[in-house]
Amino acid sequence: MTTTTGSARPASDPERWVEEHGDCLMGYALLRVRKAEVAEDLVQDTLLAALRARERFQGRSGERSWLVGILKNKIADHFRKHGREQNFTDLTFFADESPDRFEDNYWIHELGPRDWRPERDEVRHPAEFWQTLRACLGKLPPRVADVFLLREMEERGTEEICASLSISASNLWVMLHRARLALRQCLETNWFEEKSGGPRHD
Amino acid sequence: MIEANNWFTKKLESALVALTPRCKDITRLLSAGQDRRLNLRERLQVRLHFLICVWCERYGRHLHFLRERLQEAPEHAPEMGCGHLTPAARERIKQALRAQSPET
Repeated sequence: MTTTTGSARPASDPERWVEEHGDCLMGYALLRVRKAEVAEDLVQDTLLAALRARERFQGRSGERSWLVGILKNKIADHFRKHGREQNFTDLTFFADESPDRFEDNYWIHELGPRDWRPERDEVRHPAEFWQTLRACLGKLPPRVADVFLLREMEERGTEEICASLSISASNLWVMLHRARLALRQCLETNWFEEKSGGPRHD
Repeated sequence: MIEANNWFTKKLESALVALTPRCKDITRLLSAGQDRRLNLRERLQVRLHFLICVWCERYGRHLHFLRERLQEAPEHAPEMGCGHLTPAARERIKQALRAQSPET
């Protein structure tokens, strides 16, 4: 066993991947599939695939993004194989789209989208931001989160998602729209308004 | 002069209101725009609507923001606190890697 920690050979030590990126990959996989056994298998498949493909890794995107990219594909594969197994529930989520924010189908001005001040310039988001985002994602019905995150996180096309989860296109549009409405509102209430309410820490 | 100006602005505004869809429809269009290319008519409707509605314009910006953050989110899984590998799983995965590694 060598103990070289040199960055000269970034993709040369698969066991180091487990130490350095294992928790990150597992966290992401758990967020997406919710079951530890399934998530562990996905992480293992990812690292095995990375091992087979490591000659092709150029180091351009950084080791972690490279591994995360492989895991994104593994997650999409997982939904392609098993996405049909869960049935869809929680129709209350679709009952009405933020009825309290609209009047006569126009935004009520005081309740409409606010100006998210630090939106653009904030290059690095603090840990609390990611925790808030995760909490907001947790409020989506599981099936809606599956659809929405396949689109936004794994960056899959709409046709592929419809086929993977066997849902109709119109169903997909509604789910994506509702997820965006709900997530946007949740983040505004729990992050941007909270933040602007208190003093800024620069 | 100012009054005439106001009058004109008001007229223009109500003409635009009549021309473009309502906010609820615009939010749907903005969402669709994240997943497919809007056609010319739809893009025009959105543009016109933005002239009279800062809220929908913000809504559109927020959807971009969400997309950008969600694409980077997996790399921030540790900060999100979604969970981690147990020592047993860690060991099992290392063994699997060793078994496949051509060097060992």
